[in-house]
Amino acid sequence: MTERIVKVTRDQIESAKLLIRLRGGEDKVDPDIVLIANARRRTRPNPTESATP
Amino acid sequence: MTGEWWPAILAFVGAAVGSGASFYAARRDTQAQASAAADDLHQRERASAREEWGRRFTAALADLNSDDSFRRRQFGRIVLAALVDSDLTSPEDRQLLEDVLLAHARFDQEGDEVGLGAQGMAVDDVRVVEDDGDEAARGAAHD
Repeated sequence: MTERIVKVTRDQIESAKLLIRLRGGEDKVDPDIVLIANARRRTRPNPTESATP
Repeated sequence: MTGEWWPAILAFVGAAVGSGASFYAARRDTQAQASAAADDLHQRERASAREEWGRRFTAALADLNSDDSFRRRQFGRIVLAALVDSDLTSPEDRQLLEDVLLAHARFDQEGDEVGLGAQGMAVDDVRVVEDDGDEAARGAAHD
């Protein structure tokens, strides 16, 4: 199964969180808004690991 | 002797009833005026508070749509969240804010809509990550 990565900004995340709060829960908004609100920071590769051959 | 007192008694009773009635009428009128003044004051205070609420709402919306910094936009969100819990907020104001936030969540700053469910893809197949602006990490994330 291919997984598509969608990037969103911090503004989009915070607006989605506030919208969920105003509506009264994650079940009161569209699923894509819940996904945006729960977006996580990507785990960056460790620079020390990438520097080593 | 008894007949001599009747006019005085009747005059006294008449004066008492008359003054009592006028006192009652005056008191009722005063209470009505006080009640009307209190209602008027309450309405003026509410109109003033609503006006101030509108000013803050407008300023917070401007902050939310500012291009300056994330910090300013976040302050706008915080103020809007506080304002919308006020009893001065009408259902139309609340709906307006929800629509604005919905557009904010769905569209990035370039105006592109986040297409999470596009191309027949279930939302479970989509991983949403925060855009940290680090293009170098993108390749690593796809690997």
